[in-house]
Amino acid sequence: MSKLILHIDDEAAIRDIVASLLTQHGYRMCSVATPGEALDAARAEMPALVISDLQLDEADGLETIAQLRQLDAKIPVILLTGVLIDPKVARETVGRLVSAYVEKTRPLSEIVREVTKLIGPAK
Amino acid sequence: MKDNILLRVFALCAVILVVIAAVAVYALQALSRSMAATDWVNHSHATISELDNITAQLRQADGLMRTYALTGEAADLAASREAFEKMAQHFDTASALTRTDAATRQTLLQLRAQAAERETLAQAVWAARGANQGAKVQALLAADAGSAAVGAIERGLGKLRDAQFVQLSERDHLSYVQAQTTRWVVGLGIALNFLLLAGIGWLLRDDIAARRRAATILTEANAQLESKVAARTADLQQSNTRLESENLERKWTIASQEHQIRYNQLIVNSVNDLVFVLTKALNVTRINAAVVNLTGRLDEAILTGPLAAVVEVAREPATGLDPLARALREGRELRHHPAIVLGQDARRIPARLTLIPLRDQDRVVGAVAVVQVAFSSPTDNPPTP
Repeated sequence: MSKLILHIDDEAAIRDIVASLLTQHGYRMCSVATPGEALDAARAEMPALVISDLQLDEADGLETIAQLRQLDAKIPVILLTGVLIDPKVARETVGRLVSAYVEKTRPLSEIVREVTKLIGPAK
Repeated sequence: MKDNILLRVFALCAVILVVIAAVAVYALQALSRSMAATDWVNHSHATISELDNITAQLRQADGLMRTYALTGEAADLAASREAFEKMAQHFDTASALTRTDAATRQTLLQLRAQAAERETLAQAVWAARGANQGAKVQALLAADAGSAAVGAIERGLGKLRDAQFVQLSERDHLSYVQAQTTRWVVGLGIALNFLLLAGIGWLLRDDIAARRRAATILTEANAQLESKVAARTADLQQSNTRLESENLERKWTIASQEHQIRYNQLIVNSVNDLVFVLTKALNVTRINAAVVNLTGRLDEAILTGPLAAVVEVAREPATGLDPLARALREGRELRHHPAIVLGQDARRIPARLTLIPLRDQDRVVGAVAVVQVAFSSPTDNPPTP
């Protein structure tokens, strides 16, 4: 069975695109819109990787990541956000909280590269 | 090519049938000839037998005639008569058997005439003896040539018999030659048919080989076609995957840009200061929500109109020039310049204006004006334009 990735984003269009992208590369996708759904999904099956937006409806992404890490402290996380932060600042701030930081303005291949780097190929 | 071979096979089969028919006809004719020859042989043997019987009956009849002449016994007379009758019957039979052979028949008639003379003599002897005329009997027998006459008839019959044996010998030789010829004809026919069958086999083998070659070529062509189709399919799948990726990337770009624009707009709208985006002619192209909230004017009433319709700025006392137009022309910022925001209800709200030129590749294409309304603090004393 291929590796499961949990994606949290409040925009349906973004969720669809990322799901299509990573499904093409063989990963299983669980795309949710809210932190509550993310926690439920993680309790049902712990994903190999979490991709989260920074600004969500119910809570911010960092808070959700912290809650997910209470379930699995070592789970790798990619912060995929449209809130542009200076790369140097990002490394020094959110970089300490997540495994990778990718801006939504970057090409999709960068997301795939980060995913592969963190968890390897789909199988 | 296929039709040609089929025609050749049919033609060869027809030739085989013709050869078989010819050999069969010839064999039937030979069989008929052989049966006829057998009949003739039997016929010849019967003739020879009759000739032998004539000779035997002639001797017996002549002997019995002489016996009767000596004994005068009735039994001898009867036996003598019977012997002559049997001889006559054998002559009749022999004549009938040789009716198709004129020369033999003619000789046989002559011999019969000589035998008839013997019978005439015998009748004269029988009559004389029956009348007890011993002298007459003696005279008749003395006048008879006797065994010389019988010997002449026997020699004649012997020649006929020899002639029949010569013909039998010739017929035997002819029969042997005919049988040999028949064997050769049948053998050659069989050999010819085998050759023709071999020819058919060769043609069929050639046809099968041609079909196999064609099948091999077809298989190879199919394999090549399948290979090309597989390669083309792989190319198409690759192109499709690439297009899907490009399409996904395009969607991603659009979504992220929309998100970014929306996010930026959210930030701009959340600013409490009035933000105006201006052309070089100081006409308004964009505003934030604070402008509408403070002035009470709708977007349509402000956008594309002059900034001066919403924000009033005092002219420079010394030159009388518009300080905003001058700063924009000179490409410099203007900070915290006194201004009055004109509300829809004729309110005049004191404020300070900061003008920042917008540059595109070192060329001033417009400006952003940020207007801070100075009424938040009781100690704040808004400037008078």
